[in-house]
Amino acid sequence: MSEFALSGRAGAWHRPTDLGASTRLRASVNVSLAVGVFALVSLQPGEAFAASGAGVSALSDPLTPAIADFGPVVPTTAESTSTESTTGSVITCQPDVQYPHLSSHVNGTVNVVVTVKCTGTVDRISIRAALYRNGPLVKDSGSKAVTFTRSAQNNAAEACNIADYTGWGSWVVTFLSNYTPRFLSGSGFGSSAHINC
Amino acid sequence: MGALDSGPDDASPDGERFLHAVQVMQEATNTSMEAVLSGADSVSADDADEVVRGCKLLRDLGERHHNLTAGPLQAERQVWVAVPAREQAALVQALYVDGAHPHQQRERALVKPPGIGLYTSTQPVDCEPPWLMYLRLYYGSDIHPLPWGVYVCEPVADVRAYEVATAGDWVELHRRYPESTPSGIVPDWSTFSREFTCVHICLQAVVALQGMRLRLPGGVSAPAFYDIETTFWVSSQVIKVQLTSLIR
Repeated sequence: MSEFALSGRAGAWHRPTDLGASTRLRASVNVSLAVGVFALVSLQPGEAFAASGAGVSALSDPLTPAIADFGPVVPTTAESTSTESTTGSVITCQPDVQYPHLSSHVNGTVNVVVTVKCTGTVDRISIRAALYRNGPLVKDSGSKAVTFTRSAQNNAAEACNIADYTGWGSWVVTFLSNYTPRFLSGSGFGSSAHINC
Repeated sequence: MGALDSGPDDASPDGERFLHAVQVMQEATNTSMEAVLSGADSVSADDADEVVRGCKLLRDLGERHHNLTAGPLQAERQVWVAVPAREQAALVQALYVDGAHPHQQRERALVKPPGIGLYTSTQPVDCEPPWLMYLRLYYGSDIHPLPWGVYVCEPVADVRAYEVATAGDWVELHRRYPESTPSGIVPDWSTFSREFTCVHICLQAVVALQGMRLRLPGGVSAPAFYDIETTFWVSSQVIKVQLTSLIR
């Protein structure tokens, strides 16, 4: 959902491969502007749980909102970082709630995909996706956990109705035990899209 | 090319790098492309291809997997994944475009007409086929219900494949077999099926044309979204499929 720039000679475009996890969105005829993606709830460096992991309780998944109301403005960059205790290496995790879209593989279906991508392997990612149609929640994926991974994805989909759709995602990342902070979580809405079936 | 080239490094297994390409391409959906291309009516195939030539990931993968990135089709290494898995008999009834089947009478002409044809992807030497990589991202989701049937495909007759390795090849396909629709020009798959048995859309072409309206003589193409290296089989007489595994 990043900016798409005209570069080089006339007609030369950056490819959709420039699409990344940027949370800055632009308005167009059928896609409404939503500023920010995630309301990030995270620990500050140093505000750590015990590094051993024993007795540390995981953060629970945020509750899925009943209505798409977008909530407060959030920072442009919704990244989370955690630092390894001995080497100081940093893992950064980037969440993304993609545009709801007509599935190109399942005819007549509207789908929204939520992803978390990390720069290093983490212990576990719990991820949840929800789909809203003209406001109310219509589909909740439930939480999906992926262990020992650099990324996770979940989706919510329904049979297409001509409507304004919005996606929501939540995530909880559990870093390996030698990282501080050990747990980070967040949730938020993505861009709305008007879908013509 | 930033997103494609920002994934696993050169030392990573090819399977990880292919998966990264799948993850990036699936983000380029009809709504996201409409948002980022707002105001852009169409692009030329030359411009689309020029940008793709700069992609390091495609170049690297092409050194060891040229058939997937730029062709030609390896007909003997095609894999079909049925979602959900189907009985062999139901599969044979299929879904093909050639004149023998009533589904040739389409209600709507589309780039990917629903319920018609068979979509396969090539089994690389050292990793899963791209379509299975894509599906695993959705494991457990009701949009691709389990079980999945993994079928190997065996050519049993002459395979006449139309290779699409570039946006230019895609434009030429539309020029030779055009069908006008409200969404733009799409391939006339019925006429196409009289000369060819399948179209092989290579990975570099997928990247070049995904979501783009390409300029054609007399109009623009309807946007296509393949996400992965794909072969679309339009003839029912050419390949035999055999179930090899069920993924539950």
